[in-house]
Amino acid sequence: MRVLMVGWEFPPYVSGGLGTHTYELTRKMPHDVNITFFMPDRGEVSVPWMDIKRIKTSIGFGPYMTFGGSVLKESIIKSVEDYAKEVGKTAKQTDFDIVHCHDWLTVMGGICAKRENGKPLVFTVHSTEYDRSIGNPCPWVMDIERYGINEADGIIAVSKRIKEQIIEKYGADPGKIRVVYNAIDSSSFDCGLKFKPTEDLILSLGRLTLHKGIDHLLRAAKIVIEHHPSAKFVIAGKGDKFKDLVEMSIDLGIEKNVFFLGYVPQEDITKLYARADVFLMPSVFEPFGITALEAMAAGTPTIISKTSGVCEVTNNVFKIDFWDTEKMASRILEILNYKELFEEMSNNCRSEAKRITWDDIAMQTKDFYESVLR
Amino acid sequence: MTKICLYFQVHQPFRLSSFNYFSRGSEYFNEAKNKAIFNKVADKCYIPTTRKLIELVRAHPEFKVSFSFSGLLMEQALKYRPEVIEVYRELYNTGNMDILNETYYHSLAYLISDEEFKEQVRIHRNLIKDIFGHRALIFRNTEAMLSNDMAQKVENMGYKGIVGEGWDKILGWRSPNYIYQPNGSDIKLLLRNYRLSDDIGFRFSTPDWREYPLTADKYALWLASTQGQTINLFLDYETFGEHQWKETGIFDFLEYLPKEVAKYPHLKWAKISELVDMESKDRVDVPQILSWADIDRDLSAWLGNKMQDCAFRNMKELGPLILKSEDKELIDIWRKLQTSDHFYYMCTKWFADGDIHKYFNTYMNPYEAYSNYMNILNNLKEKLGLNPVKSKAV
Repeated sequence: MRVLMVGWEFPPYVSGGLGTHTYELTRKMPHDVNITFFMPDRGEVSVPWMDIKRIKTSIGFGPYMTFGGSVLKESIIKSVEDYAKEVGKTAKQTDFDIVHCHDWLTVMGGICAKRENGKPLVFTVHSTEYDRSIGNPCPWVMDIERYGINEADGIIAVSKRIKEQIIEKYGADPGKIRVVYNAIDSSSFDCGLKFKPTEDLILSLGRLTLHKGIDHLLRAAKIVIEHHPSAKFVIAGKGDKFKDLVEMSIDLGIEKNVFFLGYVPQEDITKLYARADVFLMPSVFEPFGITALEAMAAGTPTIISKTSGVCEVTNNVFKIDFWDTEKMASRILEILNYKELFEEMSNNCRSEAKRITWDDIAMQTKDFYESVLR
Repeated sequence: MTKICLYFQVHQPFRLSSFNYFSRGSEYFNEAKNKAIFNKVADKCYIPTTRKLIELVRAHPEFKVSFSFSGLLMEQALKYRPEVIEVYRELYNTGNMDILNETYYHSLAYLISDEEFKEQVRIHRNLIKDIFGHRALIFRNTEAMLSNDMAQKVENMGYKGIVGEGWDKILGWRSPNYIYQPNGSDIKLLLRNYRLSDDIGFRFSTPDWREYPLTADKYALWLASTQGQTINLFLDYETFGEHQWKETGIFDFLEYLPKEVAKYPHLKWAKISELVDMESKDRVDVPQILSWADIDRDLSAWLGNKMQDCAFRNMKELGPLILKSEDKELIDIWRKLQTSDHFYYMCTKWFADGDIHKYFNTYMNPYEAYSNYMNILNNLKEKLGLNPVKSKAV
């Protein structure tokens, strides 16, 4: 089977989970699936398991920016349209049986490739504009998503939540959707048996946007610090709420215990997982939340919000409501203070992460390709 | 002549309230939840099943049953649903119902101290005397725990028989359908025939079981073709109406069972205390504690992981101080925290492997169960002026 995969980012050019997803998915795909991978040209990139075609366009932004102002809008529409047009042209000279694209930035390209070659389209929805904007979506992005959802012959949703949402908010035909979760290459994060660290470090990781719920984390942090003054909250990532959140930590009087690291390179993130006592993902909405699996693979007791996709596939974690800052604080204090809890969670979440593999996900994806082709 | 002993275990724990690390309250038990669950189970199981048994005993005077009620079950019945006590009394008054003793708190008290164990049995004995006017001859420890040492202690407390699991590892080639005695004492061992018991308790409504559907005539034939002095069918009472819903036909099964058994003249229903008059065939060695739980038949559903051991140790350590206080309410709280269910909720042995279907829990996972228990224990410790459990880094 020959697959044309339309991507947006790929290691080393990664700003979100999309790059990791397409990397692991293509790497673990069974050998009888031949993939040609398209991505916007950002520089040299190559892997041994597939051809990567760099498509020339005028692209200069990541996949998860929030949009405002018409100037920016014009340039983004132009980039997306440019990329789609170029993907279509290159696809015409490529042999494939099925085209697979990811999220709104690539779906136009997917549609062009489908049109040019008359092959079926698979569309993976990793997140939706409706969520990223917390119910205040940018209408033209939603239009693109809706267009893709209608045009696709098969849709992969990365969680049941996403599936329900694209049915409800985008009118998707439930019959053509399948849920295929994300997974983890746990060997990259597993540093062996973990003992409880002594730093009392609570780690959170992700873009500092409204939907990551870092404001709830800070309110919980205030309670934690009252009971456990040595607690340190380390927040890695950048985003448009950076300034607001720093100011909020000052207003709460906890700025001495809260560390905003900004952008942190991958190798340092791996070290942070290993050092942390607790990993916290308080997202208001998280389509999947692969960082929780990474922390689990490192043996770090993990707290995730119930409104995350990863919540659907994990057991050995604490699950909380993102707004319930008291419960959030309590769970953090419990892991910090109950050594036996730390040890059991650490051991068991590490083994659980090992069982959530990309091999399974790649098999499920291949299986879905076959059912779409049938 | 083969006796058939049908014995039911009935228990409800006092489930804990939800406590945060810093909660200040003192309502340790979730009144609303316990009441709601009790009433639900009373409606689905306790009342209809007991009424059915009363009918059956009246229609078949040879039909006999035995019961073991945890003290906590009776306490909740008195508090939330006295009608449950009424129906049990009515059944008892037919003369065809036997009652066992156990620890009042359905606890792991045997693992705390001899004194604590004996005290909880004494409280239970008084409760059964008060409610039914019954003096029990047979003892069952929580979760059918049994060992040589335990049997000896129970014999010294005046009991004639003790319940245990008819587990292959202690029996070897021998059948559970005979009366045995443990090494070191002369008390009679009443061993559960787990295959025939689980046919009703677990497999009854399993469509992929090759014997599905299980009917009373087929089951009576199995009983009739089983060799031995006695066939001990020991079941969780909630099998009727709660584990096996009414729609599975479990009540019809029960209804027809006495009639079908009556077709075989060599089968005779017996109360559990009637079994101890029979002669023991052999000695059985039970050096380690055996239980009736899951495939391991040991204590590992309640103790063994770090959380369970830590919670149990911390609870146990409070004992001397709490008992010294002579504060009845405080002692009662401490004993309710000994109930085996709390430790079972912390069990990770199925859960961690992702086999959560084998896992029944009032919490979302074992970690929540542990945290909640420890938060309550810490709260109690602080009230007693003791240092709460904390990491030293603070």
